[in-house]
Amino acid sequence: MTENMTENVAGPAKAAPGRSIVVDGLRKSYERNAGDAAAYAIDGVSFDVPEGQFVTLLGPSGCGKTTTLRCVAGLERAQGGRIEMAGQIVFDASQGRHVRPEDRPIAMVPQSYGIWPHMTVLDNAAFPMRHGRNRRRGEEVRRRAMEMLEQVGLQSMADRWATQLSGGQQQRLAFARALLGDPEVLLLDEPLSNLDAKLRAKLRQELRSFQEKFEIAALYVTHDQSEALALSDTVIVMNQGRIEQIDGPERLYDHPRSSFVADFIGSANLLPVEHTSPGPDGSVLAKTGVGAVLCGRSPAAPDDRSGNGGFVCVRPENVRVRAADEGTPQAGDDEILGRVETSEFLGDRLELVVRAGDVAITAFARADLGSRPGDDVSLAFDPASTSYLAS
Amino acid sequence: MNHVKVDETPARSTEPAEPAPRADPPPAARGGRLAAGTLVNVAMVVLIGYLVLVPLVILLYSSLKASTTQLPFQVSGFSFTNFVNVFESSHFASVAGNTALYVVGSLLVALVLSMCLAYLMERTDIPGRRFLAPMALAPMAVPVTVMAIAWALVANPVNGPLAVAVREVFGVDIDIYSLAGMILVMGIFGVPSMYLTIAPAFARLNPELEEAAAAVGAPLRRRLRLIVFPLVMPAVSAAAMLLVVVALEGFAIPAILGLPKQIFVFSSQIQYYVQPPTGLPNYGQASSYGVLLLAVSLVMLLVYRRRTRDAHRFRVVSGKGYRQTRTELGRWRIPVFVVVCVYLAVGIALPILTLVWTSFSPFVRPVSLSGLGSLTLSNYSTVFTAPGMGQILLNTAEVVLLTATVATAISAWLAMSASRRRFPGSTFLFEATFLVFGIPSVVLGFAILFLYIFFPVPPIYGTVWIIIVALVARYLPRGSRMVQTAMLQLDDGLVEAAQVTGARPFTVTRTVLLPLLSPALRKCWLWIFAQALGELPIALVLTSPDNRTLVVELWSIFTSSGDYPTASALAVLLLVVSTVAVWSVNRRGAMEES
Ligand SMILES: Nc1ncnc2c1ncn2[C@@H]1O[C@H](COP(=O)(O)OP(=O)(O)O)[C@@H](O)[C@H]1O
Ligand SMILES: [Mg+2]
Repeated sequence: MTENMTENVAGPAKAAPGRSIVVDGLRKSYERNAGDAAAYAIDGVSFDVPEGQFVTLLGPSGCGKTTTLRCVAGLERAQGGRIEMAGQIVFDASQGRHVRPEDRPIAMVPQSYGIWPHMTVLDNAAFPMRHGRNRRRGEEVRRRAMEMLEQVGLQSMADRWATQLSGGQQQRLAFARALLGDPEVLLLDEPLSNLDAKLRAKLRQELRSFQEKFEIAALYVTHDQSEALALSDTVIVMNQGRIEQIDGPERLYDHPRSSFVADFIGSANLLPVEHTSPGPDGSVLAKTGVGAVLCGRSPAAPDDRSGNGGFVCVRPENVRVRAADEGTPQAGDDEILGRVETSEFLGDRLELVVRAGDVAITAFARADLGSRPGDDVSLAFDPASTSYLAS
Repeated sequence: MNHVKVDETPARSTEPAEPAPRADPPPAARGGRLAAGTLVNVAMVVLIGYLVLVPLVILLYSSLKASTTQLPFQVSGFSFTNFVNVFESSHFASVAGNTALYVVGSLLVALVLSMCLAYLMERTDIPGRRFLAPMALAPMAVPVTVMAIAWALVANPVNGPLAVAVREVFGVDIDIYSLAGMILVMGIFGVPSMYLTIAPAFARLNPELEEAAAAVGAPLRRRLRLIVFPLVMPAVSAAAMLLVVVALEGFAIPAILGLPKQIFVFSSQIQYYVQPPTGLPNYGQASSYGVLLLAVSLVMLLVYRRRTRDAHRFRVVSGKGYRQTRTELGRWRIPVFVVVCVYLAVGIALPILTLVWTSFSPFVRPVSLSGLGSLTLSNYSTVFTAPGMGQILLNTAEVVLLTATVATAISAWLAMSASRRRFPGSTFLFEATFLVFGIPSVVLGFAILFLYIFFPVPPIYGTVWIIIVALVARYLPRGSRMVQTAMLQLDDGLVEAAQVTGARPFTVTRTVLLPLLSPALRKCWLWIFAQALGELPIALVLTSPDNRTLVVELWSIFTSSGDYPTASALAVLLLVVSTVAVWSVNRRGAMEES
């Protein structure tokens, strides 16, 4: 699954981008005696985080993102797999090797920030330099901590108690503290989820610019697809403890590998497929409930192009809508006849739900189309932006 | 903005071949630390095992040794003779009967009082709640020995002011030295802890449930029975089981109020066998009574645990828009208020007042205005100038300070190891301390006594240390649970954020975990301090000329010399110190909540 990652690597400032984290075949169960029958929170997770890159674990709640992150941090011990960090093996189940969190070159921003209420803002920030793995002495500690606080806009609060900070400020402090530990890798678990929407959008840009400035690799966990798409170099989509797809944001949106990914990222029409046959130029002709659909985006392997089941995936903005009275659709010209169920005017466009046969298709139409519920329309899919998904 | 140079360490990208030295500290230093950590863990496991298991084993062992006057280990072979003797004697039936009556009776008294109080304070518009509720909790600050003595003073049939007043007004003779008296005092003593468990359940009740019933016209009586009681039942039954355990093992009340009339319950019977006023101790009988008592307590505690584990299922959840509507008492408002005030005055204030009064009086006499003129400090000077008093104060200070400190330290270690799973078996060890919950303190006292007679290493028999060992064992279960509760409320992220910076576990504990737990540790320390100060049976059973403490002195003055004014002065001293400690626990608690 990793072959797609390389195309998005624009290695910043580094000649030969190495890999900060390599995760291979990680599996973890919270059950005490994890046998073969055990339920695995994550099962066979493999990915890598190239140096200086921002990689996001994305998936619905409970899919195992936090578990993966905590295994990488060493806070949980997996039952199987291997983790490499900065060229060192920090975890290898087959050899019983487990480097403890304090000995891994990481920093972490937990979901709750983990700001210590019994310390001042400065003491919080300086903790990694006073007690962490890269200890420093004397004036330098204070000077560096102050410089970093200035960067995150907290220099005027340095001597206040950490409890006096607002949510957004605590988040910045947690970030500053993490950076002051000079980590190879920064691990963040939904760091923005406790903030309101406005602050979230602002901080997410800040976060990205800091990460780029310090050229630090980041592994970021979120269940918010817009956050993942906006921030990441690479997104890892997870579902039920397994990885569905690893790709850059654009590719993930345009070329989802599975119906789960298509559905989770943005909105998608998924039409169940009865059977498929190979079409021209590596495309697939899929027989669906509303007729045959030609899919230009199809699995790379020719074997996967003919078979049974799967879905046709087309984004609402790629559905062309025409009022039906402009001409009766003819068989074979790939148009689908349907009846408008709901129609919502959204200013720049009209969002229609059209019922065709027993499927409902969502489409974004021109705002001036003027279709009302009950009107007949004909729909057409552009083969170039229509995908066939085998699962 | 200044540009911060984060990479002041040798830039990692320029030295790709370097085998990341920071990932592994020098093996020697790390090995040393690991070994030290393991050593501490092993030492603690041995210590806790010793404090928890050895007394239990000794108790069982001696109950199976058929001895009457010999020490258990002087008898060869094992047999059930002791148990046979116990069950065959007619005395056993009377002790068991008394115990059952005493426990059930005081449970009923405590239940009725605390349910009424909790309902009135939490769910009705009774006036003066802010002042009545703390008053109802006041007995918490009174050591049980002091409480029993205060009641003996206020309601003894000869010259107790309450007994005299009742006789004059109602023409009824009351005698505190009776089973009924013991039940009453134990019941009142049990109110605060029960109230504290039940009141939150009442407070959590969704007023709308009750209102819905009121709206359909259900009378108050039905509303209580159908709506309120089923919802508070889990809290009530948990509190009830705990009270049964406390009443079963309670020694001071049955001893001070029951022994004068030879009314025995299990706990006082055991002490009587170990330290009979005349003749030789009967260790065999004592041990077998101890085993029986232990069995009953453990069963109750196990049931209690099951109950509290499920308790969250019954919790009534109320949202944020929680509206505190209270049942209006209407024309009953003032009468009910008066009844509560009378209870607080007679049940709590009067005994304490009489105790204080007696401590300033030349002889035992009712509280009166005319007596004001002849108040005197002579009892206090008698107390302080009594021969050996310096030693007693010193012993007491040593016992309470060391017990509180050592027990808090071990509790903190135990709770931290268990909830962070520091080593295999740490959770089991934590759970094992629960067994000590079930050991009545009289029994724990003499199990430790046997241990040091039988195996005098280290030679602490007769020193304050033997009392400290027993008290630490006794407070370990509660102390470690207090710390654990606080740990569970800490967000994991706080500790993990420190761990991932690379700080060593010891540093994380010192700089993050302990400071965050310090309010709980302080609370635990003060609680153990107050408890250890008033804990009579252990100190009594382990007493010898060199390790007498204040409670033992109080006990012996009150029961043998009969010098009540001096005993009262001593009791007031204990009361004051204990009140200060308990008050600071609660003040801290209140401060944290606000
Ligand atoms: N400490 C734990 N003990 C038991 N099960 C857990 C624990 N943490 C997570 N799980 C389970 O593992 C699965 C994955 O959880 P998690 O990694 O927290 O998901 P996410 O972060 O993606 O929401 C879930 O089914 C969750 O119930
Ligand atoms: Mg999570």
